Amino acid sequence: MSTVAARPNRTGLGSVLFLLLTIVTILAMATMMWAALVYARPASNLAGDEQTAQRIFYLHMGCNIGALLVYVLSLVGSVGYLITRKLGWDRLTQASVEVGTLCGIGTLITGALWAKPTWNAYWTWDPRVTTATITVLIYIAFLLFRNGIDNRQARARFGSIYALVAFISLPITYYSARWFRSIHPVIFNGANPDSQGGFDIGPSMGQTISIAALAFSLLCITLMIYRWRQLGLEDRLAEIREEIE
Amino acid sequence: MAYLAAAFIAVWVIVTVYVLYIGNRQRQLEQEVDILQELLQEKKK
Repeated sequence: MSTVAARPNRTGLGSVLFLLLTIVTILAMATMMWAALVYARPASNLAGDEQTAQRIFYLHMGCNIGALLVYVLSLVGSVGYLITRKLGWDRLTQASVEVGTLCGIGTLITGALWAKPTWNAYWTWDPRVTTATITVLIYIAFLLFRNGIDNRQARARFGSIYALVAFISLPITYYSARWFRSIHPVIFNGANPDSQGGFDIGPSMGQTISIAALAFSLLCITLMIYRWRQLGLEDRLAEIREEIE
Repeated sequence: MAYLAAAFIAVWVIVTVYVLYIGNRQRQLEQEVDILQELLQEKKK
């Protein structure tokens, strides 16, 4: 029954490293704010509200990269569970999908706020916007359906298979602005001649994108680890409760 | 400027709400650990 001492060991090396990661994440997010608001030069081909709103791009891109990173981790977790049947992998999937969905929602909101001054509408049925929204809805459905299953192993099996299938929506979202006619700018790996509000990336913009990508990646990893550890504690407590009953 | 401010506020609100959710859940779990420890001690007696 010693497992009842399930509180995380706050003095262990892992906890110290995790505290350091948290501090680095806070510093990286602060640097991202400074770079996005002050350091990055304004887009020279834009003017007025459109030029100011272009700075939303750094948040939009950061949220997007963060979401992509943790969704890849959810894929790793689901494959890991299906191979090993160990619940630690399932907890990785659950924590990753939660954080990825938050970042996905962040991507959609920042995109809408950038679209208003650029496209004159918060929402359009643009292929990229539509596929990104569908992706977020698919992962929200994952959280709702999965948490409705009581049996722990059945929940893990369902979650792993669902996350594996849901991941297909990510490459579809990525390529949607290339496969279909879209007004969404394509910044990396090509260009979209039909895009509206696009811009060329100068050196300070490129550096700010890198900072934003790093900061949001760190934020997502930190939140994911927090939640992953917490889910481990939840599982241990559930086991002990069953033992006592 | 309003759109830029709104975007930053939105992102920070999302992060803050999730951190508060995690913190709240952690407190609940720690309370549950205390209850289970008391239960076990009573059983041992």
